[in-house]
Amino acid sequence: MSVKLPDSIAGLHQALLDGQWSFADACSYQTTRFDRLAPITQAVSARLPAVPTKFDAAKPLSGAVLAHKDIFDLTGRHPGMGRDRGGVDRARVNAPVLQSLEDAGALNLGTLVMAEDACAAVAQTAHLPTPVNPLGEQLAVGGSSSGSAVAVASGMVFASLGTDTAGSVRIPAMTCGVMGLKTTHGLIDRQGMQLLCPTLDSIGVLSRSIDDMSRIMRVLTPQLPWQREVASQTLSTGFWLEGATLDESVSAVVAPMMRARGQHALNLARHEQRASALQHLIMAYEVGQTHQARIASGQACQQVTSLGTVGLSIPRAWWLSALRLREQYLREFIEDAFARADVLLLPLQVAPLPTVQEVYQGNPGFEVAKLLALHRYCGWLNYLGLPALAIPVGHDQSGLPVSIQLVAKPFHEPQLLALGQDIQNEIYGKQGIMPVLRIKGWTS
Amino acid sequence: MDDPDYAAAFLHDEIDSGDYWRKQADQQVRAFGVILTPQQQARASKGLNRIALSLRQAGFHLNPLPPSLAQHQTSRELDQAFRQYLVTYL
Repeated sequence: MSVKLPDSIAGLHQALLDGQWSFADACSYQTTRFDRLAPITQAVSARLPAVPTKFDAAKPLSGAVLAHKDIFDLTGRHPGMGRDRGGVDRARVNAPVLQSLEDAGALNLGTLVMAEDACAAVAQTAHLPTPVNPLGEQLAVGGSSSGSAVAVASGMVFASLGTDTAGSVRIPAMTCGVMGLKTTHGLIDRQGMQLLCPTLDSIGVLSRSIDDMSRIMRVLTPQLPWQREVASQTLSTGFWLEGATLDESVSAVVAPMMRARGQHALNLARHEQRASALQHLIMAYEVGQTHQARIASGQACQQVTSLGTVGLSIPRAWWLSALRLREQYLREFIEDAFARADVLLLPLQVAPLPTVQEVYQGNPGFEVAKLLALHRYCGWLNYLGLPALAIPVGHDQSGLPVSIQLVAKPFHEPQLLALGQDIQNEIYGKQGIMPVLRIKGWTS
Repeated sequence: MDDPDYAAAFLHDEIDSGDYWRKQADQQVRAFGVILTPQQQARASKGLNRIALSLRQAGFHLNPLPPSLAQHQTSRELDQAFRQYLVTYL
């Protein structure tokens, strides 16, 4: 085929309808691309035998190649969880979330590498090769949905599912310059997904375009009012900069953008401080409970052991209290932050994208402060259960992307994506899609 | 004193993390079948202290966490209650 395969699912469908590509050729091209990039990106933990049938324009994901974090059950297979490449388990069936995508026509080509047990802010794992950042191999990949971000950024897939307990969708998205949506707590069924912290975990979507993300979300969340068109210019916006700790080079990009886009300046420091404290408490406690047996037997990874042993010593009374306060604190946050705003523009990235040397443990240049900075403004939104979209809004002096997060009220994902589309159009032009990063060693 | 009392005393900085570890946490961790080396114990105690400090910095020692009347409640029950509240925004 001489015509380039489009970079979005909508574009793919149009090319199929116009006869520019045959369904078989389009699937074959995507599969070949996936297989050629897999060893270069090191993003794939296992290849799955997806079988394309025929194009069905009524199915929103027909013929679109996807792959997901290796944390979900598949028929006949248990997930690898970053510990290994998964394996045979005849008792398991597809997690409902994956089955929904397959029913909508998506081809699930593989499982993607993740930080072990979904418990790290970076991609580094002890058991599998570490995924390579398509923005530059010297740059770190965030975790824990690391393979998902790399596969999306490098164009191996249109989109990928990840999970987010304290930023595990948003951090990898940010480090690879793509978008990552953490959904409202409880919005998407987690059956067939391995939990890290039952009260904090949410499923999320990573993609290079809002349009692709929206297609996936419409499939996964038919209960949301997607049919109601949201005009982004009708959305009121608030922003929080006062008291937020941002590196100068990040602030130089984020502050003017927020001031130009945001209508109401807010100070959310008090909310962030208390919600962050309680999120950290809950996370440690629940990591300890979830992985108690593996910690006791010495099989848990370093991160789970170190966080989980703290968690096992936390007074149960504190944990119960933290959970009981959640409704009150969310109500107070909504009254304060959303009184005059539909969508909030909030800090996500606090420093320039870190290098492998700076945030992967064991390197001489390791700086714990830079590792902690990756999730500085993530976890509090998991405590409050709110949806949050990580999105690049510009580039720093080195030409690397700088991201913020958009936040809306519970179940208001359509509003997030409407504003996200507007921002994406402004940055990437009318077509509104991030370019595929041409990773070293790959020619199409 | 039982767990909530020690927990409250620790939160209010009336006993330090070392005291709390000896009076409560050590036994609690062992009950889960986890035996820590002295180094691991020191790290865990330090981590626990960091959490207590962040709770104090957020003001929870002045406006105490609500008393735990229902220790038997499970995360599933509490999570379900929060989810039901979230749905009111749908």
